[in-house]
Amino acid sequence: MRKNQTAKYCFVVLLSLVLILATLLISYQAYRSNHPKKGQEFQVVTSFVPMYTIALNLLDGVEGVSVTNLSSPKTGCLHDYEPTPADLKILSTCDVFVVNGGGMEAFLDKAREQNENLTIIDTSKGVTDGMEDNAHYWLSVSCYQEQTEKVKTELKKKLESRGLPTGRLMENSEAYLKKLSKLQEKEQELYQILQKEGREAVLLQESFAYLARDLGVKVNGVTDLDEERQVSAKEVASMMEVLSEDDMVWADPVYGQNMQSTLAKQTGAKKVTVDPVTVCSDVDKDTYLERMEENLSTIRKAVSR
Amino acid sequence: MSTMLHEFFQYDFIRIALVAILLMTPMYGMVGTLVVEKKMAYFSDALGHSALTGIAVGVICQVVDSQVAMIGYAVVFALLLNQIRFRGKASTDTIISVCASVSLAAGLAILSRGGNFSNYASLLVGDVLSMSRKDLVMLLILLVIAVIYYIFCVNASLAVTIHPTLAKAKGYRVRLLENLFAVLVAVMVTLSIRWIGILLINALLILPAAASRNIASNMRQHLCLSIVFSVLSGLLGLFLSYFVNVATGPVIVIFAGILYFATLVYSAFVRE
Repeated sequence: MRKNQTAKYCFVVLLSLVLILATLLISYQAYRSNHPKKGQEFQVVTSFVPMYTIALNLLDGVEGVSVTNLSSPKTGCLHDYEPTPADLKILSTCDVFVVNGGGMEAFLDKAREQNENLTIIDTSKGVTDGMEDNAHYWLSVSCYQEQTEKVKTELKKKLESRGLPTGRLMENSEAYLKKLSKLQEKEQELYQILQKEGREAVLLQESFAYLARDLGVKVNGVTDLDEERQVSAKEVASMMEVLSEDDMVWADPVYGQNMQSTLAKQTGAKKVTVDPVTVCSDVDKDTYLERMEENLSTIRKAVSR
Repeated sequence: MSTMLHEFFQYDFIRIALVAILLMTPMYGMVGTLVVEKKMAYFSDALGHSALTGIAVGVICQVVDSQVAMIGYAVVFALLLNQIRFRGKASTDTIISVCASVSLAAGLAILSRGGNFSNYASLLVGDVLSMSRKDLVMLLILLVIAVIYYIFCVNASLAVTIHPTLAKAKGYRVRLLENLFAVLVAVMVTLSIRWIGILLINALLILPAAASRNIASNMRQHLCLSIVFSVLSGLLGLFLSYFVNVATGPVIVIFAGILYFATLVYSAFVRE
C-alpha cells in the first residue's frame, strides 16, 4: 500500500517535471526564433490589412523604421479579434500604432488602458466624408486617400521629433496617392456605366455601403453577415421583396456566400462577390490596390452580362 | 534563458495575469473536486452557458453593469435548477439539458436582435490578459469564500452526496447545503467567464479535479492533487502561451487535459 503511494507521488512529481521542462524548451525555441531584432528601430504597428498597406507604402525603403501588422492577416476580422500576448507585447514597445478608428478596433480601449504611453494615429480623424455609424472608410477610395494623408502628416511629425529623415516618406506618399487617384479614375468610369444602366443592389456587408456610394449604386437593403450573425426569416423576406432580376447582391467571399446564392436563386438577381480587404493570406504593399481593382472589374462584369 | 524570464516578468499585464492565475486555479481545483464528486459537471457547464442569457436579461432590464446581471441571473438559474432537481422525476442530466437549452435559446434570441451578437462574442473565448487590479481583489474575496465553504461544509456536503437519507437523519440540512454550493459555483463560474470564456470555463473546473480523481485514494489526496494540477496547468499555460503567441485559456486547458490522460493511463496500469 505504502509502496503504491510512494510510486504515485513519484509519478506526479515526474509528470510535473516533464511538463515544466517541455514548456521551458518549447518557449525557449519560440523565444529564440521570433525575438525582435536588436537596435533602436522606429517601430510602426498597424491594426489590420488596409492600415498595414498604407504604412507599407509610405514607409517603403525608409531607413531605421519597421512596420508590423498586429491582427494576423489570415484572420483579419476585427470585430471578434482578441490581441494575443505577443500583440500586447508589440503594442507596449512600439512607437506608433496606426488604426482605422471609429470603433473598428474593439480592443483599442483595452490597449490604451494597458499602455498609457501608446501613440495612436487614428485615421478616422482625417476622414471628412464618412457615414454615420459606419466606420469601414477604407472601402471608399476617397476616404482611404484621406486616411493615407492623415498617416503621412502624423508620421512626418513623429519622425521629425525623433530626428529621422522624412524625404523618402513624402516621396512615397505622393506616389501612393497618385496610384490611388488612378484607382479613383477607374471607379469614375464604372460610375458612368452604372449610371447609364441604373442598377440597384442589396448588400450583405455593412462595409460595402462605401463602395456602393462611390459607384452611385442605389442600395435597397443592408444586412451585416458575419460568423456569429443569424439572420431572421423576416429579414430574408424583406431583402427578396426589393430584389429584381436586374439588381445585384453584394456579398463577401467568406460569410455571405450561402445567403447570396439563396437570394440570387429566388429572385434572379446577379451575384457579386466583393472583397472587403480584411482577410488576406499574403499581404504586400499592393494588396489594397489589387483587391479594389478586382472588386471594380467584378462589378463591371456583373453589370455587362 | 534568464533574459527570456526577465522579458516575461517585465510586463504589467503578465504580472497581473500571473497573480490572477495563482488566485483562480487553486479555487477551481478545490471546488472542482466537489463538482466531480457530486457529478455536477453538466450543471456547471449549464451555468456557464446561462451567462449569455444573464447579459440578455441585463439588456432588457437596463442593468448598466453586465457582470451584475450575469451573476444575478446565474444565481437564480442555479437555485431554480436545484429546485427542479429535487422535485423532478426525470434524470438530472435531462432536466439540466432542457433548462440550459431553453435559457440559452432565449438569451441568443434577445442578443441577436438587430444583429448585435458579435458584441458579445468575446465572452465565448474570454481574455485572461485583460484583467485589472480591481478584478484581482474580487478574485481574492471569492477565493476566501470558497475556502471558508470548503472548511465548514465539505464533510456535510459529501455526506449529502453519498447518502442523502443518512445525511438527513444525521441532521444535515440537505437543501440548504446543496443550494449554497450551487450559488458558490454560479458566482465563481460567471465571475471568471470574462477571463476564461464560456467555452472553456467548465474544462478548467472539471479537468484538474477529474485528473486527480484518477489516482487519488482518499478525499484529502483528491483535493491536494487537484489543486496542484490546476495551478500547474495554469502557470504553464500562461508561460507557454506568451512565448508561442496563442490565446492563454486554451493552452491552460490543454495542459489540464494532458494531466488528465496521463493520470488515466497511470491508473489503468497501477492498481491499488
